[in-house]
Amino acid sequence: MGSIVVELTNRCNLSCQHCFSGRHGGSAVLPLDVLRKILDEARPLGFTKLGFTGGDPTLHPEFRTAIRMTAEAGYRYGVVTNGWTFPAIYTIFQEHRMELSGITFSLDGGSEGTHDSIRGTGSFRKVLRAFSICVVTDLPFTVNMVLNSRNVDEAERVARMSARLGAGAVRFGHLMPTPLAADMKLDLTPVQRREAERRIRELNAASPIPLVLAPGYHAADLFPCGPLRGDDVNVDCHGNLTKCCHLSGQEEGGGQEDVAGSLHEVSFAEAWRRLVEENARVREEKERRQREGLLLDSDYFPCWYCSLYYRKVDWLRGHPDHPWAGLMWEDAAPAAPFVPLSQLLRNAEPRI
Amino acid sequence: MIAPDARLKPHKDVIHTKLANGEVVLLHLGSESYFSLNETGSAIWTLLDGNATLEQIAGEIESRYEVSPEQALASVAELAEQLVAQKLATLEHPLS
Ligand SMILES: C[S@@+](CC[C@H](N)C(=O)[O-])C[C@H]1O[C@@H](n2cnc3c(N)ncnc32)[C@H](O)[C@@H]1O
Ligand code: SF4
Ligand code: SF4
Repeated sequence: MGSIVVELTNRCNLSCQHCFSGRHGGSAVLPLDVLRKILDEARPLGFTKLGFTGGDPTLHPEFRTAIRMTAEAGYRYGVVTNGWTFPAIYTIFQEHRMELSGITFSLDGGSEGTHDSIRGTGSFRKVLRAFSICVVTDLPFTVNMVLNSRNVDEAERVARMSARLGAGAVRFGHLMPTPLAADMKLDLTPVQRREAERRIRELNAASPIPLVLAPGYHAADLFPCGPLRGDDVNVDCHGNLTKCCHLSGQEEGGGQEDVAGSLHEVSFAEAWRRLVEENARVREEKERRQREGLLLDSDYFPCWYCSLYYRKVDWLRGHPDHPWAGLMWEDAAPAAPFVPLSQLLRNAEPRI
Repeated sequence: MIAPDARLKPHKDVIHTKLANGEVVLLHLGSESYFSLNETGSAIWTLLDGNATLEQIAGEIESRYEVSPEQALASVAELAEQLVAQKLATLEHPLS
């Protein structure tokens, strides 16, 4: 079994240009009794690992307690953070070092200028300061970089710098479209994404540390990630069990079908059961679309497919110049017979 | 040898971090190298503000660690040499 991503809070001290607006200036905090419920009820279902995210998870007012509870319950855990608060909180990881699988820091540029232009002034130095703490205190860490039009040329620099500064690996992910990122023209085109993937694979071959592509890269495998395989789940900061952290927090999108249930109301097992059922429907539908030749090449970027399926990018219809706007399906409602717009046009034979 | 009335300040490309145990770790952005300072080194580093002279810093170290004035100044000057050589600190021009 895989892991549970837990969004501890949607509070954040930054307003990164590529992030979902639901994570800018939120104030929701996951109550610790929901965390307790997860820890107690997920173990019998086979879950053994938690990954804390946010907002910035370290801004949860009881962050140290959350880590302690998780470690004492016998789970392995990881944390993804922007690094700003690290000097104030790192000792909790030393106290629960055995259970720590690793800390992931977000680094979105190989230069101070690029990273800070996306994440805000001072962010680059703050995250590198967090690296130094990990190195001298022997805490394992990796780097996450979200590729966009501004930083894609710095992927190599991020990889080289991360290796030199002691990171265990770098994970490169694609940008989930957001209105703000669209306004900033941060999205890569499908062709640019493929080129970036090719380059990263090439860099990996010569890299001293693993350079991996996060699920979301172009793949023939229709179910390439933990959530789609039914291994991983997400709990958002409101206590909802949802499919995936990439899909939650997108308050611009209308779709809520990725939400299986509130842990304030139902047991973890019941919400999980609903998600497993929902997953079966998703699998069936995706396979049907493939069989019937309805998948566009862009639909093989699985997170893009999910964004359409779960109606997270309806707002894109108001951005006709966006590189992905023309790749939307005509009807993106889940469980409806999806037909991509371009397919419809191809089928539209003139009638005489 | 750096003069006892020299003043040093952290190099602008250095990120310095004080750990919970008081130890200081330095990261030079240009060379992408880490440097960790021992307890005395950390104490000296935190006193490098571009205003205090090496002699004044040595006075402070002398009172904190019960070492002779000569030993204190020798330690401060030696560290200062290394910091400047590694571009971790820069010499301030003497105050006029
Ligand atoms: C939402 S953040 C939460 C943790 C922490 N605040 C941070 O920035 O590392 C987790 C990861 O999601 C990434 N992320 C944010 N917006 C994204 C988007 N639109 N598409 C893909 N990843 C995104 C961030 O760069 C970060 O690496
Ligand atoms: S990417 Fe992380 S740090 Fe940036 S706004 Fe989103 S949650 Fe906050
Ligand atoms: S958005 Fe979909 S494809 Fe992407 S990681 Fe989540 S579940 Fe997997």
